[in-house]
Amino acid sequence: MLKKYRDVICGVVLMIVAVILFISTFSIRSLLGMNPGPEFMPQVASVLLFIVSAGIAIEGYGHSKYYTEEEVDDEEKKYRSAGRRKVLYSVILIGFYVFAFDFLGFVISTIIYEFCQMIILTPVGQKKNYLLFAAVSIISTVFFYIVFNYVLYLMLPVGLLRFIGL
Amino acid sequence: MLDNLLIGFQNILIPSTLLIMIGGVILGIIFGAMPGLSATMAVALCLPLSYSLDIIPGVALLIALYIGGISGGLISAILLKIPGTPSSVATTFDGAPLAEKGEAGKALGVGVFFSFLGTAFSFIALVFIAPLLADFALMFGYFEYCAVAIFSLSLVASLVEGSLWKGLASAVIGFTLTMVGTAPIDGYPRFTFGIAALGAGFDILPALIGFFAVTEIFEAASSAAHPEVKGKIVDFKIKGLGFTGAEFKSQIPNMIRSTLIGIGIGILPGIGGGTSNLLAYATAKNQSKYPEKFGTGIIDGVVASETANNATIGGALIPLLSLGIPGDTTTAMLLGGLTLQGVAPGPLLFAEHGDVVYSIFVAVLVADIMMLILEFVGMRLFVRVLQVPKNILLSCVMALCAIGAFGVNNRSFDVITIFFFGLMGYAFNKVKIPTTPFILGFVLGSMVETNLRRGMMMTMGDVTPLFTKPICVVFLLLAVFSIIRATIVRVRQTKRERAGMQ
Repeated sequence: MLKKYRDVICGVVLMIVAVILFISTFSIRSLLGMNPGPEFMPQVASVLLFIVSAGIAIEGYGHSKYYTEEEVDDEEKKYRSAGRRKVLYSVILIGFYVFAFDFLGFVISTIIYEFCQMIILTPVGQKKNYLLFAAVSIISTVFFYIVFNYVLYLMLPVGLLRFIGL
Repeated sequence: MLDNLLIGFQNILIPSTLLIMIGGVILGIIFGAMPGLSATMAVALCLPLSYSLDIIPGVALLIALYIGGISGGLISAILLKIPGTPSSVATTFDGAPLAEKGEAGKALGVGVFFSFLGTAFSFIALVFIAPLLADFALMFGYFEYCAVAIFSLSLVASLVEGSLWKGLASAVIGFTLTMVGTAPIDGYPRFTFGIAALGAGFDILPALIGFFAVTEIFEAASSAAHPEVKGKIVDFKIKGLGFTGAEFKSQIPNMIRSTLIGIGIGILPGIGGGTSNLLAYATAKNQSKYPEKFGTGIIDGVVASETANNATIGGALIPLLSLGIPGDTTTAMLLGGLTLQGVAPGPLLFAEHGDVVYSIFVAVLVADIMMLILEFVGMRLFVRVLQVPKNILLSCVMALCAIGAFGVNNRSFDVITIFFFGLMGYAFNKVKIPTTPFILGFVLGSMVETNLRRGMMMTMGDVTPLFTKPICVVFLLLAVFSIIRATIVRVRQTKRERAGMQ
């Protein structure tokens, strides 16, 4: 059912976003009393967004009449739910990585990230070579750190490693 | 113009720059050849690198990556039947069957050589058209720029596959996101929710890195649930160039036509190699004396696809350099790279940084020659690289993404940005909203707003010049026309589909 009305739901959600956006522009007040002020373009954008979202919803509703349920066998269903799980794990992992990047520092967060991501991205049924993953994580991270910090002078966050005097 | 080109050659033909470019072409080919990586990603990841170099080697590196990346896609397209980049989809149609017939060497030779020719011809177009367009663009005022940006957005949105509404929504969402941060001109903070880091808005580089690279990782996770069907890499032999003089002669009309299509598509903002290769293939098939042979393994298909996608490179650089409007997503990254170096693409670029512009032209030609030589000489090595497992590769790519994002402004907020744009890109894919209009909306959004508001400042709030000035009217009418045309095409298509279903 969700898939049938996917576009309608998408359109409606975007329409709501557009309305919220429009309302929020009322709090934007030009400091210089200009005409048009900084609220002009956001208002134009939110109106346009509303129109196109309505278009998506209406078009989606029209298409839903012709919607045929896709025939999915059990094996494919299993793969799809495994896929969704892998995506979820990746989202959590990358979310952790980007927030820990500064706090834990580049080296620690990247080694943890790479190792875990390699595990997640290993295709179903394939043997996970943990030793290889660990080796690649550590070597690549150290390599990047040396190249970017000392060769290209792009200072990456040291994070917790500052306690060992890096 | 000749003396400008000579200056360009002087700037590029320095050993250190050439060495950097060779590295760039090799890396570009590797990225292009690997399915899951792309030319855009290669440029995105090397942006911090280019920033730490001087401007000309920095930009030359990005051009080298671009050319290597677009060309590299043919390797996996022919040998693995999987396009390495969206620009090489049509190459699989005849390239893979050729390989299966035992003629992989011929397919590769043809692909590489005609890629070289495609770029070389587009280089000529670039050198002659870009300065003319820049001169014309100097007549543009604020309202004209606004109208051009609106036209570009409408064109992109209407030319994407699938739903017109979704294409437009994509552009509008991208456009809306540029309004986060301090407003242009009067500096009022908008949509910052009190977060100090959002005061500067979203930087385009982390946005692009997130939207293209991080999204790929989520997609890879989704497809990793399927047991891997390891593509068998076909072995091959290349003798000389792989094809005969007679075969070359027979392909000249095809080559000329595909080059023109590639350059034309490249000039149109927002659409690039991904479209030109398919269009050139379809046109070659339609105009061929033996259309039924297409898809069975004839070199015509490979010639059309690879000539066009490489010709798009020069074409896409034309609007970038003369108008500051990127011709495709990779040139959108180049725009960021040039801006990082303090060189703003646009008509004034020719007047103020002519040496940079002509160095870019020369870089295109030099990188093209490097690509030709490197691909013929190093083909076997590139094939070896294709065998690195995706899970290891993409994990390292993500680390590079984080470095790249961090390197833009030296703040971790940009690293967090790539996560959110990655999620957004994945959401777009799930709902089948096209991603290219979003990028253009994001890039052109500030162009539209800043120019419109500046123009209205000069006219004391009067917006009518946008609808009365001649150049503006032309572009706005073209915008309306492109949307109407797109609607008609889609209505006809839907009617045909419905009739077919009954």
